[in-house]
Amino acid sequence: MRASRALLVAGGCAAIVGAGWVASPKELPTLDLVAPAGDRDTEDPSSPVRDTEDRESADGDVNGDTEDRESTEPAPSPSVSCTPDDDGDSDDDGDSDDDRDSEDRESDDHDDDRDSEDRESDDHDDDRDAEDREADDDDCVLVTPGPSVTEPAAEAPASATTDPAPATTDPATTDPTTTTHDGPVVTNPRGNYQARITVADGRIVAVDAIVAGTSAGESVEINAQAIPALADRVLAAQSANVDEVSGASFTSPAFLESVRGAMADAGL
Amino acid sequence: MTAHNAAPHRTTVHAMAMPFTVELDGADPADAEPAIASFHGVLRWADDVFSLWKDDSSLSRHLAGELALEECPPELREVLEACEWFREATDGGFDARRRDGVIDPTGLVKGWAVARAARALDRAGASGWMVGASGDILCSPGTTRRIGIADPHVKGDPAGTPVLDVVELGGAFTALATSGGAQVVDHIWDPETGEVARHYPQVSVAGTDLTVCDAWATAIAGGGPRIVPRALAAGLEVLLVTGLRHDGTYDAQSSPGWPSVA
Repeated sequence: MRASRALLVAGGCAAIVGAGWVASPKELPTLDLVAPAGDRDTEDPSSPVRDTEDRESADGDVNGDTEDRESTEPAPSPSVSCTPDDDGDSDDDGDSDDDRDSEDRESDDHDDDRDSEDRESDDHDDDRDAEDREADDDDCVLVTPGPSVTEPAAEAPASATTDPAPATTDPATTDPTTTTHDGPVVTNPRGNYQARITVADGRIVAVDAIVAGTSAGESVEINAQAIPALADRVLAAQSANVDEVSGASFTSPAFLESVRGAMADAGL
Repeated sequence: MTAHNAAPHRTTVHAMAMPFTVELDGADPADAEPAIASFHGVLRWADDVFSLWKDDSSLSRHLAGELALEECPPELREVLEACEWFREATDGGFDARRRDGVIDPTGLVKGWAVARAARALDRAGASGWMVGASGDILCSPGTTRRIGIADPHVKGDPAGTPVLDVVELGGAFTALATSGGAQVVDHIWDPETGEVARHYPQVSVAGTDLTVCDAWATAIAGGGPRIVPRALAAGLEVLLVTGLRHDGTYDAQSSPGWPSVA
């Protein structure tokens, strides 16, 4: 079932890719650079409908690339924006790039449409994060941020990368001087963290976490809740009239004394 | 019940190599002594069942394969199941499974045993009671008490030492547990990495159930910041000492409902 669906999607994507490539191959490098393959590697289990409508829409790759992970050819992809350590799904990145390219080429003349669609796809951030856990495509994101801000043409796709806050996407689509930059994915034992900054006229206007914590969508949500929930305080030791003091467990002085006595008794 | 002494009846008993201070408000000594003896008895029984430092405890013998779980006191299974329950509830922050495969419920036993033993104090005929369980506090509802949060640097019994914060127990909160600090250094491990946990110098959790507070304090100390939102979602309040400043003060974070009265 899944295999046939994947084939179908792969075929559709390949067709789009091919058409796009033929139509305007020169656009490819720019667009490749701006759209992190990892960002597009979204499989949204919550809306299967999207799958079909996306195939002919600009966001077709969103679902497509996750499904043809093993199936399609790397295709004409001058700048696969992935580090090679991906676990076997690197060709998927190639595909996703191409898909995006082709579709970008198709909708190139009206960026706004793309953006609105992309904003729609923003809703799937959480799913994407969850997906990342398995696909490890964060690597791909690593290499993309720089180029995404290098030229105005890059803007729309850059803002189009999944962004949890549509509000920050809007200026990007309307204001040609607004750009978004994705930081590298920083991994620690707790999970992956990635920041996105939105820059307007050379000033940072927004900082968003696009991946935080364990990279599960739930974690992103929890982190977002937790951070403002705790109040920072500075505490100083103070003499106070209290009934009891709570601290870490401690051993009975009497017990320690007893141990010392026993040790002395044992000649230690 | 006669409540003519204003001064609370205060006794310290020792079990599990730890001191347990019992304070009974306005109790007749004739009632208080048996109640405290009963309280003490439960703690010593718990030590006999759960101590990993005693080779002949039920838990030690069970782990050595000498005793089937069915042959142990049913409370052993209860506590081991509680460990599993808390492991899931805390998303692995509290994990009694040591890396060497030994199940070590020590982190839960004290709070559990005190909560159990404190039932005896209800029979003391006191208007209220409080237990200071070697750093963890449990008290009866109704009488408010001021409880200090120890300076993480203080070793041993923090009673009488300057405190970082003062909270009120006896109202919405009747239990308070603190983990970390200078006491038993590096005795909490991070279940995720297996390494010694050093997320926070000290973690305090306030709630109404000492077993729960104790388990979550251990979970946060062991699992770090990712556990905190879960503790808050469980209805607990936390005070996290996050670091020491150069001037000797501490950076800390507290949840919105932390019952500080300092």
